[in-house]
Amino acid sequence: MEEKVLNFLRKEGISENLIDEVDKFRKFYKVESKLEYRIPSPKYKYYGNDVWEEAITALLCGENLLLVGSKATGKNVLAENLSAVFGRPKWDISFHVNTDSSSLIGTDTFENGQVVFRNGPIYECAKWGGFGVLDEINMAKNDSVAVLHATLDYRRIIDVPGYDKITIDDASRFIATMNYGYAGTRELNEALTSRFMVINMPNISADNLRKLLQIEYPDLKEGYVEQFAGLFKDLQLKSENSEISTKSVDLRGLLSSVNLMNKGLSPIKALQMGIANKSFDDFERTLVEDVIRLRISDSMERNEIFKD
Amino acid sequence: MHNLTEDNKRALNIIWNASDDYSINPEFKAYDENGEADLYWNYMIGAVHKYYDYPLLSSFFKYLKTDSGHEFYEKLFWIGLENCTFNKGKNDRPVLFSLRRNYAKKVLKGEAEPLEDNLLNVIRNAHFGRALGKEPEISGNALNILNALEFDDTLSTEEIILRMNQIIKTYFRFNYGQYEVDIKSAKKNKSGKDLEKHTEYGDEKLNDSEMKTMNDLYLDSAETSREIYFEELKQKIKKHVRKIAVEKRDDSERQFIRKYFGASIISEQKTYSIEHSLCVGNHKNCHLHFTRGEFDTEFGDDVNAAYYNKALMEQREINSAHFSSNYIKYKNSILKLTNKIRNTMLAYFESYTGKSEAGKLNAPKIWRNIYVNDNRIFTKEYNNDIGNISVDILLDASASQHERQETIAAEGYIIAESFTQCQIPVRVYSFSSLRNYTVINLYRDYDEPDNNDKIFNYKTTGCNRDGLAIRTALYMMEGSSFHNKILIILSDCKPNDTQSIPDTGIKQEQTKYAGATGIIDTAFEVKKGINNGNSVLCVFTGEDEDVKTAKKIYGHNFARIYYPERFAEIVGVLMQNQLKNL
Repeated sequence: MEEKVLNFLRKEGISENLIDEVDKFRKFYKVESKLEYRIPSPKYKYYGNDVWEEAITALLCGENLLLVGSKATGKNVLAENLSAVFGRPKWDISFHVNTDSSSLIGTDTFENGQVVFRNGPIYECAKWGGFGVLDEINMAKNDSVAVLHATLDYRRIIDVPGYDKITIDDASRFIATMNYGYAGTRELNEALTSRFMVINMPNISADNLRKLLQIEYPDLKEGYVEQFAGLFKDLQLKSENSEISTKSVDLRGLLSSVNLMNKGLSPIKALQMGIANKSFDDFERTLVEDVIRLRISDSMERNEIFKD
Repeated sequence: MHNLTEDNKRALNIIWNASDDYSINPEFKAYDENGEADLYWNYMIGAVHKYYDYPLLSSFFKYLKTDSGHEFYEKLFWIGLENCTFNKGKNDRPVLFSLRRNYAKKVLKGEAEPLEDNLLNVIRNAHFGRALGKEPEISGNALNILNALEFDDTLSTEEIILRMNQIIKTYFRFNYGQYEVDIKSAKKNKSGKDLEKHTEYGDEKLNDSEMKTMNDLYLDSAETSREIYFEELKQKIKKHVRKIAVEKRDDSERQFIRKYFGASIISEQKTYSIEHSLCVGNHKNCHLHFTRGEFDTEFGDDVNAAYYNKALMEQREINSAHFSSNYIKYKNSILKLTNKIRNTMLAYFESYTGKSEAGKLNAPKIWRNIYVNDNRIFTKEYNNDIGNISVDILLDASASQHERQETIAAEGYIIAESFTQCQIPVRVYSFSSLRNYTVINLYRDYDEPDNNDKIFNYKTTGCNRDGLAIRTALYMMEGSSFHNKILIILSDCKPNDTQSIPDTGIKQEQTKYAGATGIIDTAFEVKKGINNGNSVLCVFTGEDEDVKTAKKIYGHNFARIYYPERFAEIVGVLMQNQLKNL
């Protein structure tokens, strides 16, 4: 396992120095065996040399990361990959409008007739030296996540009023993700932002998209790797020019569609489900369908797309 | 019935997609026999832009236009272009094989859109027959033409044009006599157009009365400078004289503005104090005027004032008439938008209480913990209340919006009415600049839900100093006690004002408030508003070429209205996103 992830980094052309450091980090910080199940083995790899090096360097230096990017830029994939590379248990914490300090740090609760403190995910993560993924951090109200300030900056502590103060494990890091781009997204306030190193996640490049498709679906014919990558780029360009919304520019949907095709569903129907129907506006859907039909024919069958 | 604008937009989207270039404005678009955008041919048009030197082809098409039968030659040429473009594109997009096959079948079955000319039909059938692998059943000249026409994909743009010219010369009689006449008339047309362009003032089109106002303005300012210069000489001796003189002049200007736009709704003293805090920096030397467009009785017998007032009333008639003649359409938009807003409010902002593992202890439920080991014996209030909301709608009433006054009045009305029906307080006003006054014309205040139809008093005139207008709007919003303040601006994003930005350096250079300067200033004001916790949104009403500007000023917080039918959907989504994230 360990060698596998590090080899992947080598193959991606990450500098040998950084890989050495990561290796040292892994050897120095042990993981409790009861938490090993929390170390992810990612389904998707993140491709993108620059982002990898930025992220690894920041984490090695003890910084927390904020990954900012629009949909399908691989924020969560990178977060998962990072905890795999560093070999740390991962806690996923989804933020929403009702997120408050008790859902993050923990709260008093009643168990077996007694009031006890139940640890929240941030607390657990800090205690066991895990990687905490703060998903969509900008969805929470800024004032309710203010409790994280002391956790995220140089103090590295969690102080629970009336309970205890704990120091965060040296191996703990927090990786926040934030979707930014569609109309009306909330901004993160400065106090919180300043506690992170920020990586602007680029849109997936054509090369990396082809690589991703090839690795995920090795049976896919060469020509169609090209077509699907082209389809995604066409949609992206259309959305960048505000002709369609971002709803149909959906990498997850594209990958799932290819999966359905592999199972035998007709390609055009699969793409309809995975991409076109994501838009609930009739006219926009027509535009998206036009883009699809300029890549995939209506009458195409599975065996035209897959080898075997 | 088919929606022409939608199909037009769809055709454009296919062409842009094929050409990878969203900045082109294609001269050809293809529709099928039902009037729907044709996928295959629109792809071809876009792909020609991508693979060939289109400006060159475009001038060739222009040359073809000099013949009265140009449509014949154009269609013939497109058959040839289809051949080479298909061959160029087939490796990039294997789907073209099947698209072409389907189209060819349609042609051979006689289902494709019919061509007027018999020869064209024969050639098209033969060409697409070949595409299906059938040998053409034609001979003689028709076959020769077809063979020459099916351009090879190795040919360059120049070679293709040469070849096409050769075909025309060999087999047809291109009308040379007519050519010269046409060129002459084309030239004439062109110079006529140029002339028209020169009469435009910058980006703003001015009508006669506005032109006169502009002239007045220049005369006035010349006068002023002399006056001040003269007073300055005497400054040391009689300092107060200058002050009086300037104020007097200011008064005469203000009087003019009052005559033109209507009485002020706040005291002069208050206006001065607002000006004092807002008309600074880039807007130094500017003035503000707040009005409700009501005729100032002080000028009861003034001919000009009466004239302006009459013009305003006429425009009101036009606006209302436009609204009532499209009543069903607009009423529908109001309904849709109202529902969208209401749904969002219901879905996101209801607070509710529920069982929880922490919160307020619910004593009667404690037994559940002891006997059935249920931890959820607390109640917790999930508070989604975002506090009260207010919406300010700011209409750009500059002359550049002149051609779409009725639409903008209607759009403003739709938004205002929808929010009113959701019981959200709305305030609507417009802005425009004349001389160095930025005039805020208030149609409806928060507590006047019955005044929405005052929006039809909307009339465009003069320039627009967007930066100052937005600054003023935000200033007015500051004073209200609402929690969440939303400012919606209906604008074409073309800041332009005759009053320059005051110079700061030693060099006496003035920067015109237009172009990049205006855009940067406006964007700055918008950013400032957002940073202060307001939401600033734009409903873009201008031309395609200014979309980039809108993006610069408002970031992603703007909606672009392609065509009025979809106004409610587009604005609805913008509002939804905004409300969700308050």
